[in-house]
Amino acid sequence: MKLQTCFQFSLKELRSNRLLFALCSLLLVSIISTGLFIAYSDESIMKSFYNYTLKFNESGTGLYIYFDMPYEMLSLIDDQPFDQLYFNGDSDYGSHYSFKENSLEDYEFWIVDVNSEAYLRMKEGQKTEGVELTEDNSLNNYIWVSKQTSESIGCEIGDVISKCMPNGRTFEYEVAGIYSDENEHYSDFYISSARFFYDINEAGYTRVAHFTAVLANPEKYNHIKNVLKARHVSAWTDYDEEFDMLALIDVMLKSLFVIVMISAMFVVYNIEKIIFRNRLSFIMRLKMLGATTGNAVSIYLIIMECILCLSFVFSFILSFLFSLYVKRIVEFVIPEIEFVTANIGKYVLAGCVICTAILFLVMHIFKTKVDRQSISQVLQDG
Amino acid sequence: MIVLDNVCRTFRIGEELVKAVDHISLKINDNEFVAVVGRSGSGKSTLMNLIGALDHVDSGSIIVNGTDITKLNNRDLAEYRLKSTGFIFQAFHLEPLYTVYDNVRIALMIADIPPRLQKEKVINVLKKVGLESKNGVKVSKLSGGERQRVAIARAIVNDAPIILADEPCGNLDSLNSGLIMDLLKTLHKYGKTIILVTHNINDAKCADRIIELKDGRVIRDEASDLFSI
Repeated sequence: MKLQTCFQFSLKELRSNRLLFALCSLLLVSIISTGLFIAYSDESIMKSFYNYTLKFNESGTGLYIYFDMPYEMLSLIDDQPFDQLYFNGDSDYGSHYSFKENSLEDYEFWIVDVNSEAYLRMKEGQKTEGVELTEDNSLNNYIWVSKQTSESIGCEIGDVISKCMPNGRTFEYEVAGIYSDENEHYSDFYISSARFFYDINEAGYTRVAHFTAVLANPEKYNHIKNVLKARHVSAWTDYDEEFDMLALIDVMLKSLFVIVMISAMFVVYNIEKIIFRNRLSFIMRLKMLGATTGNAVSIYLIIMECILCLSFVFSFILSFLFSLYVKRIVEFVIPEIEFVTANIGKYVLAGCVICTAILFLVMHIFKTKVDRQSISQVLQDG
Repeated sequence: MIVLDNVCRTFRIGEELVKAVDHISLKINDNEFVAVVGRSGSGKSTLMNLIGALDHVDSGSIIVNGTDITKLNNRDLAEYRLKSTGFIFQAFHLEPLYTVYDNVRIALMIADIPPRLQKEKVINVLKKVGLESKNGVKVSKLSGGERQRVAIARAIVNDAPIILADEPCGNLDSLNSGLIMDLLKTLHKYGKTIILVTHNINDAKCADRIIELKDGRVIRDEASDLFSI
């Protein structure tokens, strides 16, 4: 029997058993549209949120992730897909500075490199008395004081400012220079980072630094957070609460999606069984008239494939219409959000492929069963 | 020619094994009209189903025009049923929701006859069985006699040389039975081999030869004019 003839039979069967096939289609449409709707809503909500996190960043270039960790561990996170990684200076070691036993806790200390932006800014256009920071003297125990601060605490070049670590060790720094500080943004003290870290190391501390990573794609955040967590590094963003809440929603929706997809597979399987059982005597009559089992089964394969494709098209439209309401709800809850519509074409395609595979599998099982059955027995029973 | 050699077919009914056909050997010539008679459960229908390849033998061989059909694969069996046999059943086995025309056309569609020829052949065969005026009527709307005539039309539309009729008049009144038997006789006249399964001795008398079965065995095989109850 030619394929064209199989098509003709399929059409005839569709016409003659409209109700059966209409009910099957309805069942398929309802289950597939539910699945697509869930996938659609899930992806749209997540994408919208990720966009939202970008929109409210100062630079708008990505999601900012903050974490503290020792420098030594930097190589361990080399493989992470950060788009940018900034070092934000070392963390506070809880120590305090003093000058002639007076606490300097209210003053601001900056740890600078020879060519760091802060130090260059200090030097630029400023009049500095005393020694300037160079590569050669960067390990010397020098400290630079602003003119205003030096007047306030009464220190001069050559005086000593001491730093007491929490473990009791004290390091002393000699005032190497005094600079004019007309710009109010300038700090009160500058210390060479080389010397400072040398002392920290001497005191037996591990250097823990603040890092800021920028992720252009915020979807990777949860993964990166988990990777860092596995290395005992805590990461956070300004949207952690939202991320946690959405992760929960995401898990819930994805679980629902999986349940719906499994149900859809059972529905496809059972619909085929219903159709075959219902039309078994017809299949056997076709065999009696000279059709092969393959011919007879192909008729239903064509019908089911058509029903499946149409169901996916209708489900796609339905789920899209429903998702408009999701959009309205999300925009109502977060008015400033820019709703991003997800592309669910991949779900439609994957669904079609999986369901077709199930179709072929069931057809094969059914064909084997039909081949084993005696035509006369079925005709007699039917 | 159809040659059955030591054919056996056993069914399991519950715990019991029933020999429906028990070592039957017989020959049926081309263009012969054979009636198979016997009581219910004697194995008449099973024998017909085996000859028509609607069932398979447990042992023995059935050779139709030189081909042992018990050794054919599924595809070749389908080809055999398509080209060599036409079936008529007591229960008609028609598609009730299809029209008369479509029910007959099914056989031509399976044979991949070009659509333009299909119409011509269906109309011709419906004329032969006297149903040309009902070709657009759904089978579910026809009387028993008319349905059986549709079944006959479907059985002969592909010009199969062997017609297997299992109690074709079982559900019909005497008038319609007469019509159906006349049709079978006409088919025989046109050169078909007819194997008629019946428990009605009057119908069987229309055949050239009557084979009587009991408990799956042939107990009598003689010309119909010699056959007496």
